[in-house]
Amino acid sequence: MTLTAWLPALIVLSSAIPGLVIFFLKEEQVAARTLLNMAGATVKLLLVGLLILGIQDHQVFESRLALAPGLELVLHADALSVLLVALSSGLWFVTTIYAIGYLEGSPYRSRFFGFFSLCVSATVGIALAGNLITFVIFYEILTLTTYPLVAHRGTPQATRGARIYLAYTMIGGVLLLAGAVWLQVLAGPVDFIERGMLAALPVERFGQLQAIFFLLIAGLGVKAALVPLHGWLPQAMVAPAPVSALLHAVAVVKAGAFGIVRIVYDVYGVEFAQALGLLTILAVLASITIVYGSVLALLQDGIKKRLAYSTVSQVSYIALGTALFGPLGTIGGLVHLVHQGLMKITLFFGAGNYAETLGIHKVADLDGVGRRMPWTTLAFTIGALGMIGIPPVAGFISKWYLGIGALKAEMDWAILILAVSSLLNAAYFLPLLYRAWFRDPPAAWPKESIPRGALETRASLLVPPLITAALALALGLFAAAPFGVLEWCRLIAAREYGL
Amino acid sequence: MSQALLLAIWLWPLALATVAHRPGLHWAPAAGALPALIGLLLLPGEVPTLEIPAMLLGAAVGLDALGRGFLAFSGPLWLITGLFIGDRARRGDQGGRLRTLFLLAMSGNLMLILAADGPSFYVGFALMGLAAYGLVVDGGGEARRRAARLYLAWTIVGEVLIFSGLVLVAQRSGGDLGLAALAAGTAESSLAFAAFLAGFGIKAGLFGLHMWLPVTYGQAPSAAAAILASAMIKAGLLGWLRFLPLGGEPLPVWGDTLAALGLAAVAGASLVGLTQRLPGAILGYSSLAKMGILVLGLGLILREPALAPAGTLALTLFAAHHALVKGGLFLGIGLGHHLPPASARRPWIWLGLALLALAIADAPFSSGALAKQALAPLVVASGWPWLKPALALATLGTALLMARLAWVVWQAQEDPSRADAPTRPCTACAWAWVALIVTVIAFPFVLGGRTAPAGTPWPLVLGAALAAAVALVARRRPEWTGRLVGLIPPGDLLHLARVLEPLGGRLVSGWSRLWERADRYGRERLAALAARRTGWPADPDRLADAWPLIGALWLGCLGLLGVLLALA
Repeated sequence: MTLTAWLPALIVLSSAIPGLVIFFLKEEQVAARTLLNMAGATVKLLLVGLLILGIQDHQVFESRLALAPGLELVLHADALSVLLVALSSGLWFVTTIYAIGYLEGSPYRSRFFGFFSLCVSATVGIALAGNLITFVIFYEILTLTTYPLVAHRGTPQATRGARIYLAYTMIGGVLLLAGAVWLQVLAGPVDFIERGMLAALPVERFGQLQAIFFLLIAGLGVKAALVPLHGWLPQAMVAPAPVSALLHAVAVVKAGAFGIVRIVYDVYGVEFAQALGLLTILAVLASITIVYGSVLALLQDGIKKRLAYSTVSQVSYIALGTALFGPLGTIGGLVHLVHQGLMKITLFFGAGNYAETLGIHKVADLDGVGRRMPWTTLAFTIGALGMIGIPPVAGFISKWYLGIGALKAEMDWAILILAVSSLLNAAYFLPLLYRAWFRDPPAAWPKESIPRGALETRASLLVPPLITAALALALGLFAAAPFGVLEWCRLIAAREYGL
Repeated sequence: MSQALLLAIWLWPLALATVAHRPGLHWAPAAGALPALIGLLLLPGEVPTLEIPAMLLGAAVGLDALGRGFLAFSGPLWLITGLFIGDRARRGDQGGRLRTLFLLAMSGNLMLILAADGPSFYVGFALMGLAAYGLVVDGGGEARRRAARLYLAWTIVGEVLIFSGLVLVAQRSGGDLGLAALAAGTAESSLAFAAFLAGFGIKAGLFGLHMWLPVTYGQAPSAAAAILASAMIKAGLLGWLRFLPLGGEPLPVWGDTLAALGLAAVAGASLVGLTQRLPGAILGYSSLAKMGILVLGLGLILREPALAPAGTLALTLFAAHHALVKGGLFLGIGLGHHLPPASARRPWIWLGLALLALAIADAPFSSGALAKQALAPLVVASGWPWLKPALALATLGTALLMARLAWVVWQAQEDPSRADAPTRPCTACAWAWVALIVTVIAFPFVLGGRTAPAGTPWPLVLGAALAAAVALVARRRPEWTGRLVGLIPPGDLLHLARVLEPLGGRLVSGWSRLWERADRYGRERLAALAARRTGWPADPDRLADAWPLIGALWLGCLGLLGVLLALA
């Protein structure tokens, strides 16, 4: 009884409390900070494990806190929340290990890890939000906690990138809030309920509902990097690699994408959204983003920039899946939420390893790096092939469901988008792999800071990408395995369509 | 037992691939194919399909008659080529990489042969196609790199096409991803049919999608070309046999299309091949011509579905013959390359090559004659009286190609600057090659029963006479024939596209310049507008300095919320 009421709150607090304590630690208290970080990450994983077991047992987990009359802070765990909660908790764990290794010896680590933990708390809060207002609050907390992370290095370039990031996301936040307020006025408190609650409204309000939808999508589209709201994302690449990894794979872009999923399925209801004609427009927006992001990725010569535009493209797969009416499209979008996270974080870990170990930032400097850092490059290869959709890496499963979902939704043209996107992905990822594996290494690396020992780089930098790459491979190779992500997404889709 | 073998056939090379990069594992590439051979010998006629529900979207592997046919020639070819690759890896500086990628490609090929569901087939096909890039590019050099890139680009396009086809048929099959259910879906969707035809057609050298093939064969190392031209090209054929609706309703339009494409390949490749300079490119065009005959056969089956069982068998037989012989030719040329010019072994290599060339030119009592005989019912059923003479002409074309090949190889041997540095011969490779030739010789006698087909020697005789005449002219008046050599570069139609390339490049650069200008102009106008209205700095990147506005918006929204809640 008490556990079911407290568990969602505890999951949020398990990273928030260590985060707050870390702010008060002195810079040189490395051991205490590491202990706090890892303890928080471990506790969170355990709590999430409990949550998953409970949800399979049909227990209801809900924490409520009244803010004002008619305004409640609600944390509620359903199958959809679990998807993002599990992803962000799991990847937070590996990213923390990675960040500890990555930032070894650099200044302001207490500030960094403090905000790092708060950022994950905000993401988990977004995942567990039980109503629209709670979602908006955590969405804004996420904005504010990620700003210092992007600006962390303090260089003019970093502050500029962070400011652009803030400008975009704050304006997005305003749009989202305005939409939420309007909706609350129209329909009363908006709880997230499977299959939505707005279809019951009188027909004359449908016009307003359509307008609100676009307000909400515009607000969420900033974080989800829908074109033309994506401008902040390449600029935010100045952040340290673990931050980019987290922003791109879990926290920020996922918050936007997850919000779109919530709005379509649990506020409007997918059938109602389809009836209002909203899904087709969303599908077109997502498709434009998919192709546009890939084309721009092709033009980048910085590794991280290329990955950033690739994120713009790939995250819209989730929006596309959401917009494909029918359970198969839904599965494709949801499963990609996890798959993209794993593959993209692997790629950013890899890029971070190249930069931190050998000083490689440009595509052209990757020549022969596969011989110097075979394990990192192997992980990177798995991530890149997965992004292209080469089986059996997980990206293939996403594309499979998206493709069939598109046909079932009678949006056959989306197959063409997937095909073009795959080709473009190949065009900007394969040259990287070619350089890394098939070119001869240069006489000297740009800036070799970590000498080759028993391992090609620090263990804390090497293990995280290997874990995430192995997971990305396993989720594709054993997609149909029981208790897998795919099965979970099928469960969610079945509930959202009332099957 | 049989189920463990079904898994070992493709998992064993995969497992070996994870360790093959270590120095000293020269045996690994050949050893990877051993379970395939054991499986061929030990697996009973009907092996129950093995379901692996957790893998992919519910995978299944099995060995049906068609799969057995393909395994029967692919397995030995991977083993023999594995010996050559092991030897090559010993000499190169990136031997570990070569061994690993060879084993990955092998695993993919064997997996797709055993696959009983669409996604598994696709996984095997992709693994094989991508890993083979490393075989083509091995050893480096600018021309080889370019050929490998061409190969990879076409391979990726093929993957995407096959994926689209799979998705198109999978949505019709109601969750059943078995091969038969998917193939039934292809009958209902011409889009899926086209996707499969083109997707596998890239691998199989379908006319119009064949341009990468002679370029790649011409530049790839001979061992890589051997496996590309034998086992891998046939994977494209297997894809067609698995996913196209053979034996259902007649599909006359598709049938005629395929027959026309096949005949176009036979005619075009035979002619263009004669103008080639590189042995690999000549053999590549010869492969295109032979694949043209298979495509023709496929078209005839689509017109007459009743012929499907016998026709599929005939095509498999033809594929086996061509794979063994073509693999042998590439490997033999590779062996000759490494011999010192005056080696006593050289005549033996010439003898072996001659036997293989006779087989591929359908000489009486050869595997080629048997393969051709097997196709006869299809030819008769077509009701096209001109088809039989046309196929005789195709044989004549092959004979001429082989004569051209002999000429080119002979000249390379006489010109010491063009040979690779002689190295210690690989005895195991040589014996494996001999075994392959023995297999080719025995092929018609084993599979054709006691009466090996005599076929007709006339195209061959005519070809020899023509070749001799041309050789005489080339001796006396080299400038006459010299004009033809190199007239059409490998990749033929590709070079038409090259003409358009500068135009395309100008279009792209013009477009991006236009876009950039429009983008910058728009941003500057926006910032200037904002500056005029609000007095903000005109730098578009400094919008964040507009804190007061954002803050006011926030407070406004919150206030509105409060007021509305109070009223409610």
